[in-house]
Amino acid sequence: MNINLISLVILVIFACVLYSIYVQVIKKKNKVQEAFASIDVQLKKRYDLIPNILAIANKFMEHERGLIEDVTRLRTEALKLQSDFSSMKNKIKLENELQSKLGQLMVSVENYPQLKSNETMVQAMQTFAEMEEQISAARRFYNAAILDLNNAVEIFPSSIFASSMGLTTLPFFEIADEKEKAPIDAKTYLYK
Amino acid sequence: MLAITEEANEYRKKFHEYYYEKIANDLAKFEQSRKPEFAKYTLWMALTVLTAAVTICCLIYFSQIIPQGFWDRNGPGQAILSIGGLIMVGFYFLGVKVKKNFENKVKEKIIHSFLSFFGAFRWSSKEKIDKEELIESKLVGNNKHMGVTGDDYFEGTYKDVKIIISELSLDIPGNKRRLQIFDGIFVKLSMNKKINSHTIVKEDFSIKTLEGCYHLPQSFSGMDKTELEDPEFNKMFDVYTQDQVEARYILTTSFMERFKRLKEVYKAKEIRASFKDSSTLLIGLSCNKDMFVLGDVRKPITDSGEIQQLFEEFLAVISLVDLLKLDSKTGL
Repeated sequence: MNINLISLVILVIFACVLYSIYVQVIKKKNKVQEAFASIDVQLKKRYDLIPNILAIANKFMEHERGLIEDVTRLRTEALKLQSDFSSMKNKIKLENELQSKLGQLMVSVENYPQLKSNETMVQAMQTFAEMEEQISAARRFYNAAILDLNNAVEIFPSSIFASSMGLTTLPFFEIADEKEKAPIDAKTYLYK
Repeated sequence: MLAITEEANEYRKKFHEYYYEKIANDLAKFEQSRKPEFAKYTLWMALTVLTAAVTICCLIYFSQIIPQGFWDRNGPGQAILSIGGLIMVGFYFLGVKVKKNFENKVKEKIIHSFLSFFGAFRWSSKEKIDKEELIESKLVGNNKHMGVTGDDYFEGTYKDVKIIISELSLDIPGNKRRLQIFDGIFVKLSMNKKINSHTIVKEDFSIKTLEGCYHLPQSFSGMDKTELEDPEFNKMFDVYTQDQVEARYILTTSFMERFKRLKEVYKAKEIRASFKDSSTLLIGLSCNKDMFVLGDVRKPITDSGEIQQLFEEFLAVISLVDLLKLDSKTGL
């Protein structure tokens, strides 16, 4: 009788431990989805702002047609992508390219005094800078959530639950291209 | 406290000239009135010490004469101790009152010239940061019976950043007596970033008393505990937030570096900060000493060390704006 009772208690404790690990894995997965949604919201704000910036830039920046067209193309491609994990890798690659091109465009504004002093452009640039800060914050949250989930997927015993739920490691939102990691030389863009 | 930014050094050089031009003469006029006030203060303090000595002598003497039941409850020992203690406390508070009145008198005359050096600042000895605001910030626990004693209060603008400095002492009812939970300054600053949620950065501020360790009851419901990328920052501070993205928007890696330096720069016992909606940053610096003292009745008024100390303390606090780069929108 005593042995049965002890066995039952051990079984119950073991079941509770397994359940709590299962719950943790679910929580981490949901957190990643929440973080992904946060980035998506910020990126959509960026997509909405881009046409305004390009409309003003088009009037003044005759020599940056190539850059403006690149930004337009990348924005269109990014909008076509679905907001789910299956397109995450492509999304990250596109966003990094778009950010790089937009950065170049903002630096090139310095070459056009008329554009630099245009009130609408100044406001758009301030909004853009603010938005980039928000995207950076959302990206950091996303990476923190991904780290937690990847740890759960790779480390025993949560890895057992993760593999049974079909969860795999996910990519971080980071700069992939070595060229993009190199510091930008403003002179390259300013003195053409 | 020592402000160590470049701007602070510039201010020090200019203040030296400003002091002799605008403040020194007015300050010197108080030296005449300080002497009689100091005599009064010394008298009350002497009476306090004398009462203590007399009480102890009485206790020793009468405990010899009445050995039986002297220390019993409601016995003669308790009575002598109570009466002596009451008189002592009375004399002590009279001395403190003389000191405080003189300080306020000097401050009311001199502080405006002093603050003019820094721009548009004003001082008050009666105002303080609202108790409800402190409780809402979740930096001081949620005890509605919290007592708030204010001392100096400054309000003004530095580099277009609105600043309020309030020297406060906070206490709450304990088991046997009131427990002091904070003694220092709260600084309220306008942030250069728009905030829509509530984020708290705090150290472990449990209160260690003779009876044991007292943990300040505080509910962080609706807020998540967050670990950021800086392991040293995570070790020093706990971060609670209503919005994970906004917490990282405020607490960038550069901001975290600057925030970590605050404790070292201000030699504060502990630091706590609340970033709340309407873009306000509230920082609590626990110093456990009386700050912004001017017109100490015990020292010569013309002792430039006192005005220098006041200058350094005030400059150190407003330098929070430079240290945390609250005046610029660099995105960092």
